[in-house]
Amino acid sequence: MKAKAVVMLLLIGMMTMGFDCVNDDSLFSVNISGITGTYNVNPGNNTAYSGSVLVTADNYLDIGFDKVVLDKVRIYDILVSTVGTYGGNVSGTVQVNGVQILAYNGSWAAFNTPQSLVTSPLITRNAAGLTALVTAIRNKQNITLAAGGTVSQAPVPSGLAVKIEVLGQVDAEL
Amino acid sequence: MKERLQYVFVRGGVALFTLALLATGIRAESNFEKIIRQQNAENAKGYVQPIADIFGANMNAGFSRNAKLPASGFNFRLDIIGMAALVGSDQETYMATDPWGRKFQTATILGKKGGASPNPIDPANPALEYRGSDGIINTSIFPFAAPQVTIGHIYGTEAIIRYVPIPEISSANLPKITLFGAGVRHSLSQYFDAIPLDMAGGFMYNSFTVGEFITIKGWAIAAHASKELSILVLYGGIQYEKSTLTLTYKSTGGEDVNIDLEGSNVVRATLGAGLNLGILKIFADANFGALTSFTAGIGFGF
Repeated sequence: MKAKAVVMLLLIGMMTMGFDCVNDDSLFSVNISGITGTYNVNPGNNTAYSGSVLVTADNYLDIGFDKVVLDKVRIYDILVSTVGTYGGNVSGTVQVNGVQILAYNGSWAAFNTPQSLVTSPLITRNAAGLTALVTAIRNKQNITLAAGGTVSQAPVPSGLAVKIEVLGQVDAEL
Repeated sequence: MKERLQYVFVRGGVALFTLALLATGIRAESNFEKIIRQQNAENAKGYVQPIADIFGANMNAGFSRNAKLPASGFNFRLDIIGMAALVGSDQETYMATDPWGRKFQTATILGKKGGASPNPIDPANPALEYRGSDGIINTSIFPFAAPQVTIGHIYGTEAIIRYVPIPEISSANLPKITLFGAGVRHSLSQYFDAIPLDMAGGFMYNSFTVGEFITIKGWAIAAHASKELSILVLYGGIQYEKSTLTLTYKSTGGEDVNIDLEGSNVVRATLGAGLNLGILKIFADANFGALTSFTAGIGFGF
Protein backbone atom coordinates (compact mmCIF):
# COMPACT_ATOMS: atom_id res chain seq x y z
CA MET A 1 0.00 0.00 0.00
CA LYS A 2 2.83 2.36 0.92
CA ALA A 3 4.59 1.51 -2.31
CA LYS A 4 1.42 2.28 -4.27
CA ALA A 5 1.13 5.63 -2.54
CA VAL A 6 4.74 6.47 -3.35
CA VAL A 7 4.27 5.49 -6.97
CA MET A 8 1.12 7.58 -7.20
CA LEU A 9 2.81 10.61 -5.69
CA LEU A 10 5.73 10.11 -8.05
CA LEU A 11 3.43 9.95 -11.03
CA ILE A 12 1.49 12.99 -9.93
CA GLY A 13 4.75 14.83 -9.37
CA MET A 14 5.97 13.81 -12.78
CA MET A 15 2.80 14.89 -14.42
CA THR A 16 2.59 18.27 -12.73
CA MET A 17 6.24 19.23 -12.98
CA GLY A 18 5.65 22.28 -10.85
CA PHE A 19 3.62 24.22 -13.38
CA ASP A 20 1.16 26.72 -12.04
CA CYS A 21 -0.74 28.19 -14.93
CA VAL A 22 -4.47 28.04 -14.46
CA ASN A 23 -6.36 31.18 -15.38
CA ASP A 24 -7.72 32.31 -12.03
CA ASP A 25 -10.35 34.68 -13.35
CA SER A 26 -11.76 32.63 -16.20
CA LEU A 27 -15.43 33.07 -16.98
CA PHE A 28 -17.35 30.39 -18.80
CA SER A 29 -20.43 31.04 -20.87
CA VAL A 30 -23.26 28.90 -19.59
CA ASN A 31 -26.60 28.54 -21.30
CA ILE A 32 -29.66 29.61 -19.39
CA SER A 33 -32.30 26.98 -19.74
CA GLY A 34 -35.89 26.71 -18.75
CA ILE A 35 -37.23 30.10 -19.80
CA THR A 36 -39.73 28.57 -22.15
CA GLY A 37 -43.44 28.50 -22.49
CA THR A 38 -45.86 26.42 -24.52
CA TYR A 39 -49.32 27.87 -25.07
CA ASN A 40 -52.10 25.65 -26.33
CA VAL A 41 -54.55 26.91 -28.91
CA ASN A 42 -57.83 25.32 -27.96
CA PRO A 43 -59.72 23.49 -30.70
CA GLY A 44 -63.06 24.82 -31.80
CA ASN A 45 -64.41 28.10 -33.05
CA ASN A 46 -62.53 30.41 -30.68
CA THR A 47 -59.49 31.69 -32.57
CA ALA A 48 -57.94 33.48 -29.60
CA TYR A 49 -55.39 31.90 -27.30
CA SER A 50 -53.39 33.06 -24.31
CA GLY A 51 -51.48 31.77 -21.36
CA SER A 52 -48.63 32.42 -19.00
CA VAL A 53 -45.83 30.39 -17.50
CA LEU A 54 -44.02 31.17 -14.27
CA VAL A 55 -40.32 30.32 -14.34
CA THR A 56 -38.68 30.69 -10.97
CA ALA A 57 -35.14 32.00 -10.59
CA ASP A 58 -34.16 28.76 -8.88
CA ASN A 59 -35.24 26.94 -11.99
CA TYR A 60 -33.56 29.00 -14.70
CA LEU A 61 -30.38 29.51 -12.65
CA ASP A 62 -30.00 25.81 -11.94
CA ILE A 63 -27.07 25.57 -14.33
CA GLY A 64 -24.69 23.38 -12.39
CA PHE A 65 -22.15 26.01 -11.40
CA ASP A 66 -21.83 27.38 -7.89
CA LYS A 67 -20.47 30.78 -8.87
CA VAL A 68 -22.63 32.60 -11.39
CA VAL A 69 -21.90 36.15 -12.52
CA LEU A 70 -25.37 37.55 -13.11
CA ASP A 71 -24.36 41.05 -14.13
CA LYS A 72 -23.02 39.54 -17.36
CA VAL A 73 -26.30 37.94 -18.39
CA ARG A 74 -26.90 37.96 -22.13
CA ILE A 75 -30.11 37.26 -24.03
CA TYR A 76 -28.95 36.49 -27.54
CA ASP A 77 -32.16 35.20 -29.10
CA ILE A 78 -35.78 34.23 -28.61
CA LEU A 79 -37.36 31.52 -30.72
CA VAL A 80 -41.04 31.39 -31.61
CA SER A 81 -42.42 28.19 -33.07
CA THR A 82 -45.72 26.45 -33.66
CA VAL A 83 -46.67 22.86 -32.93
CA GLY A 84 -49.17 21.02 -35.11
CA THR A 85 -50.56 21.37 -38.60
CA TYR A 86 -52.80 24.30 -39.49
CA GLY A 87 -53.51 26.04 -42.78
CA GLY A 88 -53.97 29.57 -41.51
CA ASN A 89 -51.92 32.34 -39.98
CA VAL A 90 -50.94 33.12 -36.43
CA SER A 91 -50.20 36.42 -34.72
CA GLY A 92 -49.57 37.40 -31.16
CA THR A 93 -47.36 39.04 -28.59
CA VAL A 94 -45.10 37.84 -25.79
CA GLN A 95 -44.67 39.63 -22.47
CA VAL A 96 -42.03 39.25 -19.81
CA ASN A 97 -43.28 40.28 -16.38
CA GLY A 98 -45.92 42.36 -18.08
CA VAL A 99 -43.66 44.11 -20.58
CA GLN A 100 -44.04 43.19 -24.23
CA ILE A 101 -40.85 41.72 -25.60
CA LEU A 102 -41.92 40.77 -29.12
CA ALA A 103 -44.76 40.42 -31.58
CA TYR A 104 -45.06 37.77 -34.25
CA ASN A 105 -47.18 37.42 -37.35
CA GLY A 106 -47.05 34.93 -40.18
CA SER A 107 -48.30 31.65 -41.53
CA TRP A 108 -48.62 28.82 -39.03
CA ALA A 109 -46.55 26.61 -41.31
CA ALA A 110 -43.68 29.11 -41.36
CA PHE A 111 -43.50 28.98 -37.59
CA ASN A 112 -43.32 25.18 -37.65
CA THR A 113 -39.64 25.97 -38.17
CA PRO A 114 -38.56 27.97 -35.10
CA GLN A 115 -38.30 31.65 -36.01
CA SER A 116 -35.52 33.75 -34.52
CA LEU A 117 -36.07 37.16 -33.00
CA VAL A 118 -32.75 38.13 -34.52
CA THR A 119 -33.13 36.89 -38.06
CA SER A 120 -36.81 36.34 -38.80
CA PRO A 121 -38.87 39.03 -40.58
CA LEU A 122 -41.94 37.53 -38.93
CA ILE A 123 -40.96 38.79 -35.48
CA THR A 124 -40.77 42.35 -34.21
CA ARG A 125 -38.88 43.01 -31.01
CA ASN A 126 -39.53 45.52 -28.28
CA ALA A 127 -36.30 46.73 -26.70
CA ALA A 128 -38.02 47.55 -23.42
CA GLY A 129 -39.04 43.92 -23.04
CA LEU A 130 -35.49 42.70 -23.59
CA THR A 131 -34.30 45.15 -20.96
CA ALA A 132 -36.97 43.92 -18.55
CA LEU A 133 -35.90 40.32 -19.10
CA VAL A 134 -32.21 41.07 -18.57
CA THR A 135 -33.01 43.07 -15.46
CA ALA A 136 -35.17 40.30 -14.03
CA ILE A 137 -32.42 37.73 -14.45
CA ARG A 138 -29.76 40.03 -13.01
CA ASN A 139 -31.97 40.50 -9.96
CA LYS A 140 -32.77 36.79 -9.67
CA GLN A 141 -36.46 37.52 -10.10
CA ASN A 142 -39.06 35.00 -11.12
CA ILE A 143 -40.15 35.43 -14.71
CA THR A 144 -43.69 35.31 -15.98
CA LEU A 145 -43.62 34.55 -19.68
CA ALA A 146 -47.01 35.29 -21.17
CA ALA A 147 -48.18 34.90 -24.74
CA GLY A 148 -51.42 35.53 -26.48
CA GLY A 149 -52.87 36.15 -29.90
CA THR A 150 -55.13 34.77 -32.55
CA VAL A 151 -55.14 32.32 -35.37
CA SER A 152 -56.79 33.35 -38.60
CA GLN A 153 -59.57 30.88 -39.21
CA ALA A 154 -61.98 28.63 -37.39
CA PRO A 155 -62.52 25.86 -36.71
CA VAL A 156 -59.21 25.38 -34.97
CA PRO A 157 -58.01 21.79 -35.13
CA SER A 158 -56.78 20.05 -32.02
CA GLY A 159 -53.14 19.70 -31.06
CA LEU A 160 -52.00 23.24 -31.86
CA ALA A 161 -49.63 25.20 -29.63
CA VAL A 162 -47.29 28.16 -29.75
CA LYS A 163 -43.89 27.74 -28.14
CA ILE A 164 -41.60 30.52 -26.91
CA GLU A 165 -37.97 29.76 -26.00
CA VAL A 166 -35.54 32.32 -24.57
CA LEU A 167 -31.88 31.69 -25.34
CA GLY A 168 -29.41 33.32 -23.01
CA GLN A 169 -26.05 33.00 -21.33
CA VAL A 170 -24.60 33.86 -17.98
CA ASP A 171 -20.97 33.72 -16.98
CA ALA A 172 -19.85 31.19 -14.42
CA GLU A 173 -16.62 30.61 -12.52
CA LEU A 174 -15.17 27.29 -11.51
CA MET B 1 -12.66 20.87 2.39
CA LYS B 2 -13.82 19.54 -0.94
CA GLU B 3 -13.40 22.93 -2.57
CA ARG B 4 -9.97 23.30 -1.03
CA LEU B 5 -8.95 19.91 -2.33
CA GLN B 6 -10.16 20.76 -5.79
CA TYR B 7 -8.30 24.06 -5.57
CA VAL B 8 -5.08 22.29 -4.62
CA PHE B 9 -5.46 19.95 -7.55
CA VAL B 10 -6.23 22.75 -9.92
CA ARG B 11 -3.28 24.79 -8.75
CA GLY B 12 -1.12 21.70 -8.89
CA GLY B 13 -0.26 21.99 -12.52
CA VAL B 14 -1.24 21.58 -16.06
CA ALA B 15 -1.45 17.85 -16.41
CA LEU B 16 -3.02 17.09 -13.08
CA PHE B 17 -5.31 20.01 -13.58
CA THR B 18 -6.28 18.56 -16.88
CA LEU B 19 -6.93 15.23 -15.30
CA ALA B 20 -8.90 16.65 -12.43
CA LEU B 21 -10.80 19.21 -14.35
CA LEU B 22 -11.26 17.54 -17.67
CA ALA B 23 -12.94 14.47 -16.38
CA THR B 24 -13.72 14.66 -12.73
CA GLY B 25 -15.80 11.78 -11.68
CA ILE B 26 -17.26 8.94 -13.62
CA ARG B 27 -20.68 9.42 -12.14
CA ALA B 28 -20.65 13.13 -11.38
CA GLU B 29 -20.45 15.64 -14.18
CA SER B 30 -17.06 17.31 -14.44
CA ASN B 31 -16.52 21.04 -14.60
CA PHE B 32 -14.94 20.63 -18.00
CA GLU B 33 -17.91 18.64 -19.21
CA LYS B 34 -20.20 21.36 -17.92
CA ILE B 35 -18.24 23.92 -19.93
CA ILE B 36 -18.11 21.83 -23.07
CA ARG B 37 -21.76 20.85 -23.12
CA GLN B 38 -22.77 24.51 -23.33
CA GLN B 39 -21.33 24.61 -26.83
CA ASN B 40 -22.39 22.93 -30.01
CA ALA B 41 -20.14 20.18 -31.30
CA GLU B 42 -18.39 22.42 -33.80
CA ASN B 43 -17.42 25.03 -31.22
CA ALA B 44 -16.47 22.37 -28.69
CA LYS B 45 -14.07 20.97 -31.24
CA GLY B 46 -12.35 24.30 -31.68
CA TYR B 47 -12.17 24.88 -27.94
CA VAL B 48 -10.54 21.53 -27.20
CA GLN B 49 -8.45 21.03 -30.36
CA PRO B 50 -5.16 22.25 -28.77
CA ILE B 51 -5.45 19.55 -26.14
CA ALA B 52 -5.77 16.95 -28.87
CA ASP B 53 -2.72 18.38 -30.65
CA ILE B 54 -0.57 18.56 -27.55
CA PHE B 55 -1.53 15.29 -25.94
CA GLY B 56 -1.04 13.57 -29.27
CA ALA B 57 2.39 15.08 -29.71
CA ASN B 58 3.43 14.30 -26.14
CA MET B 59 2.03 10.80 -26.09
CA ASN B 60 3.85 9.81 -29.28
CA ALA B 61 7.16 11.16 -27.98
CA GLY B 62 9.98 9.33 -26.25
CA PHE B 63 9.87 6.32 -28.51
CA SER B 64 13.61 6.01 -29.01
CA ARG B 65 16.94 7.25 -27.66
CA ASN B 66 19.23 4.66 -29.22
CA ALA B 67 18.92 2.60 -32.39
CA LYS B 68 21.55 0.10 -31.38
CA LEU B 69 19.61 -3.07 -30.62
CA PRO B 70 21.45 -6.26 -29.71
CA ALA B 71 20.68 -9.24 -31.89
CA SER B 72 19.90 -11.41 -28.88
CA GLY B 73 20.18 -11.69 -25.12
CA PHE B 74 18.12 -10.48 -22.20
CA ASN B 75 18.01 -6.72 -21.71
CA PHE B 76 15.77 -4.72 -19.44
CA ARG B 77 15.41 -1.00 -19.04
CA LEU B 78 13.09 1.32 -17.13
CA ASP B 79 12.87 4.89 -18.37
CA ILE B 80 11.09 7.79 -16.77
CA ILE B 81 10.29 10.11 -19.64
CA GLY B 82 9.11 13.67 -19.48
CA MET B 83 7.58 15.22 -22.57
CA ALA B 84 6.71 18.86 -23.15
CA ALA B 85 5.08 20.47 -26.15
CA LEU B 86 5.34 24.16 -26.85
CA VAL B 87 2.04 26.02 -26.96
CA GLY B 88 1.93 28.42 -29.88
CA SER B 89 -0.11 31.61 -30.02
CA ASP B 90 -2.15 30.07 -32.82
CA GLN B 91 -3.43 27.53 -30.30
CA GLU B 92 -4.91 30.20 -28.07
CA THR B 93 -7.77 31.21 -30.36
CA TYR B 94 -10.12 29.65 -32.87
CA MET B 95 -12.97 30.78 -35.09
CA ALA B 96 -16.24 29.82 -33.45
CA THR B 97 -19.69 30.00 -35.00
CA ASP B 98 -22.34 32.17 -33.38
CA PRO B 99 -26.03 31.18 -33.27
CA TRP B 100 -26.64 33.10 -36.49
CA GLY B 101 -23.97 31.28 -38.47
CA ARG B 102 -21.31 33.98 -38.37
CA LYS B 103 -17.69 33.37 -37.42
CA PHE B 104 -16.03 35.11 -34.51
CA GLN B 105 -12.71 34.69 -32.81
CA THR B 106 -12.65 33.40 -29.27
CA ALA B 107 -10.38 31.60 -26.83
CA THR B 108 -9.51 27.93 -26.86
CA ILE B 109 -8.97 26.04 -23.64
CA LEU B 110 -5.39 27.37 -23.76
CA GLY B 111 -6.46 30.91 -24.59
CA LYS B 112 -7.13 33.98 -22.53
CA LYS B 113 -10.38 35.96 -22.71
CA GLY B 114 -13.24 34.62 -24.76
CA GLY B 115 -14.47 36.62 -27.71
CA ALA B 116 -17.98 37.89 -28.31
CA SER B 117 -20.19 38.15 -31.36
CA PRO B 118 -22.39 41.26 -31.35
CA ASN B 119 -26.09 40.70 -31.84
CA PRO B 120 -27.18 41.89 -35.31
CA ILE B 121 -30.28 43.57 -33.91
CA ASP B 122 -28.30 45.77 -31.52
CA PRO B 123 -24.54 45.37 -32.02
CA ALA B 124 -23.66 47.92 -29.35
CA ASN B 125 -25.61 46.18 -26.62
CA PRO B 126 -23.42 43.71 -24.65
CA ALA B 127 -26.53 42.26 -23.00
CA LEU B 128 -27.56 40.79 -26.34
CA GLU B 129 -24.22 39.41 -27.57
CA TYR B 130 -23.14 35.81 -27.77
CA ARG B 131 -19.90 35.09 -25.97
CA GLY B 132 -17.38 32.27 -26.01
CA SER B 133 -15.85 30.95 -22.82
CA ASP B 134 -12.47 32.07 -21.54
CA GLY B 135 -9.51 29.75 -21.71
CA ILE B 136 -8.72 27.62 -18.71
CA ILE B 137 -4.97 27.08 -18.91
CA ASN B 138 -2.39 29.78 -19.47
CA THR B 139 0.90 28.17 -20.34
CA SER B 140 3.59 28.27 -22.98
CA ILE B 141 4.60 24.67 -22.43
CA PHE B 142 2.47 21.62 -21.72
CA PRO B 143 4.13 18.70 -19.95
CA PHE B 144 3.39 15.04 -19.72
CA ALA B 145 5.29 12.09 -18.31
CA ALA B 146 5.32 8.34 -18.54
CA PRO B 147 7.31 5.38 -17.32
CA GLN B 148 8.49 3.08 -20.06
CA VAL B 149 9.87 -0.46 -19.87
CA THR B 150 11.92 -1.94 -22.68
CA ILE B 151 12.60 -5.66 -22.84
CA GLY B 152 14.68 -7.49 -25.48
CA HIS B 153 16.14 -8.96 -27.56
CA ILE B 154 15.23 -11.66 -30.00
CA TYR B 155 16.49 -11.34 -33.55
CA GLY B 156 17.30 -7.72 -32.89
CA THR B 157 13.79 -6.99 -31.67
CA GLU B 158 12.63 -5.38 -28.45
CA ALA B 159 9.26 -4.71 -26.86
CA ILE B 160 8.24 -1.44 -25.24
CA ILE B 161 5.53 -1.09 -22.62
CA ARG B 162 4.01 1.96 -20.95
CA TYR B 163 1.40 1.38 -18.30
CA VAL B 164 0.10 3.66 -15.59
CA PRO B 165 -3.15 2.65 -13.91
CA ILE B 166 -4.38 5.22 -11.42
CA PRO B 167 -7.52 4.03 -9.67
CA GLU B 168 -10.50 6.25 -9.05
CA ILE B 169 -9.88 8.48 -6.03
CA SER B 170 -13.34 9.37 -4.87
CA SER B 171 -12.19 11.70 -2.10
CA ALA B 172 -10.32 13.81 -4.64
CA ASN B 173 -13.06 13.51 -7.24
CA LEU B 174 -10.54 11.98 -9.63
CA PRO B 175 -11.74 9.34 -12.07
CA LYS B 176 -9.84 6.25 -13.06
CA ILE B 177 -6.94 7.18 -15.30
CA THR B 178 -5.06 4.74 -17.47
CA LEU B 179 -2.05 5.27 -19.68
CA PHE B 180 -1.16 2.30 -21.84
CA GLY B 181 1.40 1.99 -24.54
CA ALA B 182 2.94 -0.90 -26.40
CA GLY B 183 5.48 -0.98 -29.15
CA VAL B 184 8.09 -2.98 -30.90
CA ARG B 185 11.40 -2.02 -32.49
CA HIS B 186 13.56 -4.03 -34.80
CA SER B 187 17.19 -3.54 -35.70
CA LEU B 188 17.72 -2.59 -39.34
CA SER B 189 21.44 -2.10 -39.16
CA GLN B 190 21.95 -5.85 -38.68
CA TYR B 191 21.08 -6.20 -42.35
CA PHE B 192 23.43 -3.45 -43.56
CA ASP B 193 26.98 -3.95 -42.32
CA ALA B 194 28.39 -1.14 -44.42
CA ILE B 195 26.32 1.62 -42.81
CA PRO B 196 28.26 3.40 -40.04
CA LEU B 197 25.11 4.15 -38.06
CA ASP B 198 22.85 2.01 -35.97
CA MET B 199 19.38 1.93 -37.41
CA ALA B 200 16.05 0.60 -36.25
CA GLY B 201 12.42 0.76 -37.19
CA GLY B 202 9.44 0.47 -34.95
CA PHE B 203 5.77 0.84 -34.22
CA MET B 204 4.18 2.20 -31.05
CA TYR B 205 0.57 2.42 -29.87
CA ASN B 206 -0.56 4.59 -26.97
CA SER B 207 -3.83 5.27 -25.23
CA PHE B 208 -4.70 7.59 -22.38
CA THR B 209 -8.11 7.30 -20.79
CA VAL B 210 -9.59 9.63 -18.21
CA GLY B 211 -12.82 8.30 -16.78
CA GLU B 212 -15.46 7.78 -19.41
CA PHE B 213 -15.15 11.29 -20.79
CA ILE B 214 -11.82 11.49 -22.59
CA THR B 215 -9.87 8.94 -24.55
CA ILE B 216 -6.74 9.75 -26.51
CA LYS B 217 -5.33 7.11 -28.79
CA GLY B 218 -2.34 7.33 -31.02
CA TRP B 219 0.12 5.32 -32.99
CA ALA B 220 3.47 5.99 -34.56
CA ILE B 221 5.72 4.29 -37.05
CA ALA B 222 9.31 5.43 -36.99
CA ALA B 223 12.79 5.00 -38.37
CA HIS B 224 15.57 5.66 -35.89
CA ALA B 225 19.33 6.12 -36.25
CA SER B 226 22.03 6.61 -33.67
CA LYS B 227 25.78 6.73 -33.25
CA GLU B 228 27.63 5.87 -30.06
CA LEU B 229 30.75 7.89 -29.33
CA SER B 230 32.09 6.42 -26.10
CA ILE B 231 29.46 7.25 -23.46
CA LEU B 232 27.77 9.79 -25.75
CA VAL B 233 24.91 8.70 -27.97
CA LEU B 234 23.69 10.93 -30.74
CA TYR B 235 20.36 9.90 -32.13
CA GLY B 236 17.59 11.00 -34.43
CA GLY B 237 14.64 9.76 -36.35
CA ILE B 238 11.69 10.35 -38.59
CA GLN B 239 8.25 9.43 -37.38
CA TYR B 240 4.81 9.27 -38.96
CA GLU B 241 2.06 9.37 -36.37
CA LYS B 242 -1.64 9.74 -35.76
CA SER B 243 -3.56 10.62 -32.64
CA THR B 244 -7.24 11.06 -31.90
CA LEU B 245 -8.89 12.58 -28.86
CA THR B 246 -12.45 11.39 -28.31
CA LEU B 247 -14.80 13.37 -26.11
CA THR B 248 -17.98 11.68 -25.00
CA TYR B 249 -20.62 13.73 -23.23
CA LYS B 250 -24.25 14.75 -23.13
CA SER B 251 -25.14 18.11 -24.64
CA THR B 252 -27.41 20.58 -22.88
CA GLY B 253 -30.14 19.26 -25.12
CA GLY B 254 -29.63 15.78 -23.72
CA GLU B 255 -28.00 14.40 -26.84
CA ASP B 256 -25.11 11.95 -26.61
CA VAL B 257 -22.19 13.62 -28.35
CA ASN B 258 -19.03 11.93 -29.53
CA ILE B 259 -16.35 14.21 -30.90
CA ASP B 260 -13.17 12.92 -32.51
CA LEU B 261 -10.32 15.39 -32.78
CA GLU B 262 -7.27 14.52 -34.82
CA GLY B 263 -3.93 15.66 -33.46
CA SER B 264 -2.13 18.06 -35.77
CA ASN B 265 1.25 16.39 -35.47
CA VAL B 266 1.61 13.87 -38.29
CA VAL B 267 5.30 13.86 -39.14
CA ARG B 268 8.13 14.62 -36.75
CA ALA B 269 11.89 14.75 -36.97
CA THR B 270 13.78 14.00 -33.78
CA LEU B 271 17.31 15.04 -32.83
CA GLY B 272 18.76 14.13 -29.48
CA ALA B 273 21.68 13.05 -27.38
CA GLY B 274 22.18 10.76 -24.44
CA LEU B 275 24.76 9.53 -22.00
CA ASN B 276 25.35 5.86 -21.21
CA LEU B 277 26.67 5.85 -17.64
CA GLY B 278 26.61 2.17 -16.86
CA ILE B 279 23.13 1.20 -15.81
CA LEU B 280 22.18 4.86 -15.74
CA LYS B 281 21.06 6.47 -18.98
CA ILE B 282 20.27 10.14 -19.49
CA PHE B 283 18.79 11.50 -22.68
CA ALA B 284 17.09 14.52 -24.17
CA ASP B 285 15.79 15.35 -27.61
CA ALA B 286 13.90 17.90 -29.60
CA ASN B 287 11.03 17.04 -31.90
CA PHE B 288 10.07 19.14 -34.88
CA GLY B 289 6.73 18.85 -36.62
CA ALA B 290 3.43 20.70 -36.59
CA LEU B 291 4.23 21.11 -32.91
CA THR B 292 7.66 21.50 -31.42
CA SER B 293 8.18 19.35 -28.39
CA PHE B 294 10.97 18.20 -26.15
CA THR B 295 11.67 14.96 -24.39
CA ALA B 296 14.02 14.26 -21.53
CA GLY B 297 14.45 11.25 -19.38
CA ILE B 298 16.44 9.06 -17.16
CA GLY B 299 16.75 5.32 -17.56
CA PHE B 300 17.99 2.41 -15.55
CA GLY B 301 18.90 -0.86 -17.18
CA PHE B 302 21.31 -2.97 -19.06
